[in-house]
Amino acid sequence: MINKSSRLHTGKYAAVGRITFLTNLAYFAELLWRTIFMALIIFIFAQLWAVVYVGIEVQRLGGLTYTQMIWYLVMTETIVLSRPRVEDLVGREVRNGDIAYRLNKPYNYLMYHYAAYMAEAAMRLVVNFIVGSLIARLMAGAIQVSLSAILLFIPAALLGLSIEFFIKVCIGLGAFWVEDTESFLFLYDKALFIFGGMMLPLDLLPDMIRRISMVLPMNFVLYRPARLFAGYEAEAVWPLFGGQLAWLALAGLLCTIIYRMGVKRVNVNGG
Amino acid sequence: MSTVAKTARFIWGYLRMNIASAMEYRTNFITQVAAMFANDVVLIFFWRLFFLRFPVVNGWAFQDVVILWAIFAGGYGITYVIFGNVARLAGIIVRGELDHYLLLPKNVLLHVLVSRSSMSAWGDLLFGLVIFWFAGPVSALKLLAFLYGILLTVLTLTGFGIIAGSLAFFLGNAEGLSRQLMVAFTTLATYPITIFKGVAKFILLTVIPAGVISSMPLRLIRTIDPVFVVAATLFAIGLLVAGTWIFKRGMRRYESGNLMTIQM
Amino acid sequence: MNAITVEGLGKTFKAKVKEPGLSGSWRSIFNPVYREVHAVAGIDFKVDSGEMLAFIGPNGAGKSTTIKMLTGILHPSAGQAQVLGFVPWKERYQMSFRIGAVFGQRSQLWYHLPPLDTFDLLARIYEIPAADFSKRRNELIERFDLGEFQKTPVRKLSLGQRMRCEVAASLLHRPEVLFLDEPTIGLDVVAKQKIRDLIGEMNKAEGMTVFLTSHDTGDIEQLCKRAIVINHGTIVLDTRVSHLKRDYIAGKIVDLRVTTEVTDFSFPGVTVLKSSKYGLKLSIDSTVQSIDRVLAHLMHDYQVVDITISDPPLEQVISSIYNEGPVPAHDQ
Repeated sequence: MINKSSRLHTGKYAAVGRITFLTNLAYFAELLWRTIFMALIIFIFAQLWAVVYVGIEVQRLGGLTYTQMIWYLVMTETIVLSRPRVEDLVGREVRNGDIAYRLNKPYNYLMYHYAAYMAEAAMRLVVNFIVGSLIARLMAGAIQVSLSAILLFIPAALLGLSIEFFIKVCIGLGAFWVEDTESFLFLYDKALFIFGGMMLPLDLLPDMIRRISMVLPMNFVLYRPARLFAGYEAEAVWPLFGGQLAWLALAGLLCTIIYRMGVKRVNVNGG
Repeated sequence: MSTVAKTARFIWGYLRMNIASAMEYRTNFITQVAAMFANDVVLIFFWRLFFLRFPVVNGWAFQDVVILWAIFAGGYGITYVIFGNVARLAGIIVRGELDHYLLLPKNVLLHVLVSRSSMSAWGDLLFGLVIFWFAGPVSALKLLAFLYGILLTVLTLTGFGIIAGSLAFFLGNAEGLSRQLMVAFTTLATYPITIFKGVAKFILLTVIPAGVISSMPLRLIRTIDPVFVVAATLFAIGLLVAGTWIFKRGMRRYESGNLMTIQM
Repeated sequence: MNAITVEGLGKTFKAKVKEPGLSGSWRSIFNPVYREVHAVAGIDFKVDSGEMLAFIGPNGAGKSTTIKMLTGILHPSAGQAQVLGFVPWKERYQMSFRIGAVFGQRSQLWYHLPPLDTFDLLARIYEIPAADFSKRRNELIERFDLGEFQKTPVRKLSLGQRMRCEVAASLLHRPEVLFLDEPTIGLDVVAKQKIRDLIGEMNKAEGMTVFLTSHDTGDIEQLCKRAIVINHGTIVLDTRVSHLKRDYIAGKIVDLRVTTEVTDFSFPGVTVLKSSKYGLKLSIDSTVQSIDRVLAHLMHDYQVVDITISDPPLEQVISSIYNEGPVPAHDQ
């Protein structure tokens, strides 16, 4: 095996990211199409929440004003719509045995996919963020947003997407053992929807469900980054990044272990 | 045999083939149905959480949203089970896949629509039927209204889908546009019509007629508004007739697989 | 009687011209440039009832566009055509009961179901009465030898078996004209032969007209007496298949096996196509050199164990027509 040095050659992965980025430029039009969906859903939310805020005659719900609420929802959608579809890839490579051909390449399999994933995610995130902000501005008006909120949102969203990457790859690698990993991915997606606070901030959930969601990683993917942007509170910054890094480390470690175990299976049984 | 009976036999013939085809991969079929069912359950769960916090939203209670989902999921399920190609029409036109149907002695539009059946749509259909029983007491009249609502949904959705897909005849590569229109329709149909005002409401009752469906819980189930029932029925039939006419006009411009772009 | 008549038939497509790259995409959205492509530029021909015609030409010559116009898929931009007395693009529905079509690249069989299920569905589509259908189906099953795999899903059939089912499926409603577009593409030699034999048999037995396009010269040589060659949307040649070779090839291919070792061989008017230790493949240009002189020379120099003299493959004939004018028989 060629593995002269254990240190990561980051240049290699930067190159992977670069080529993914270029490939995805070709799908730029499609990316813009998808922002139409975002505009639509935000439009609906803007109407729905306007009715809610007027109906119960309050200024703030879960600490957010109407305008902040719409911006919050725009940011969760921004992140959700920026997720590349890595799950198909890894699961498919395991099932059809392509993963065996990747083993003798001089790169770290997980890092390779991570680089490609992040390049695509970052590009989508920036586009969605810009378009999403325009939509939110148009439909709900401007919010007072500090520079630190803007500067911190992008890395927080990218870290959230990183956590999601490792969770999904963990599930995808499950294809070493079980035939159907799609239903697990599906369950994760649905969990993200509710426990990540995609359409309803966690502050508005019943106590029980909020408590469950706080021990799950999904709130670090959507809720916390979006909440930070919509209603910036300095004291929320450290719990956010600290929690994200902890979950990232945990998911990454788990992923590496599952990957090693899976590869061993390939080596023993033959691809 | 009458034309209606012949058409019904023809549709049934395709449905049977599609089911038999799905049965070749039974596990996959069941998984897809269960996944779609679960998906709908989660969405209703979201609404449950929402209404726990805000019990009444512009006259709508949780029960009304459940009825809306029952009607829409039921109608959507039937549409995609029987007319499984309704959302793929644009792609089929652009890629020249109408060729196959043009060689056969059947109505091209009907033939394209029925030749595919969505497996996951069975999950929607099942969900719609199940959840109806959870939306308050069931009477014969309510059941009848519910079934009529499903029928109107099928007609409206199919008519709209045909028009959205036929755009490909006139605009070239309209696959993305057509898909977005269908997604918009589906999304808009599942939110209470009463949250929309002015131009938005007007659009929802005309250009993207999802509002016809989201009006049903209050105007067809809670109380039967005869004006609404007649208007919605005429509208649904009109949409279907218009769709058929537009498709026919479009067929004259059909260019098989040759609508391609030359790279220079 | 004519099964197909075509007069001045033409089809022009408008194609969007796109320059490469993002800026190109951008410009093509807001300021599209169109170019007219004359896929078929005014062609005339007739096909007799019961005739088997080969319609050949390189990729992009206009073959498919012509077939699509004749089967009612495309509206032409110029000219007239009739198939069995119908104008295809105007009377598609009535005509479709009486024609059949097999596209080698596109299957009409349901992939996950046994072929018989598709046959049942087609019976419904063509409104074939039940009694007629079962008689016809059994006849085709027997003739096409489909008995053993009539219960097997199509995805588990070999390509050859699948193609037999495709052809049988297109014959269920007893079409009077059968359009075959590349019916033997991708098949092995045995399967190809079987398909050809079956098409030939059905033509004899039922007198149906066959309109065939193919890149395989075997299909054309064995099935058709007449060939139309189309290129750049116009007919370059309409002649008997036997004339094709006589008029367009001035030469023979000689393939021989010898027991004496082959050393450098050269002879005026002869090109060595291939040479190995005990074998030689030669091409003789008969305008320069007579064949018997070459043979005499070979017999004299070598201990010959086997010899075959053949016409150059039809591919060469066709390619020489494309390149305008007869050229001597040379491989590659």
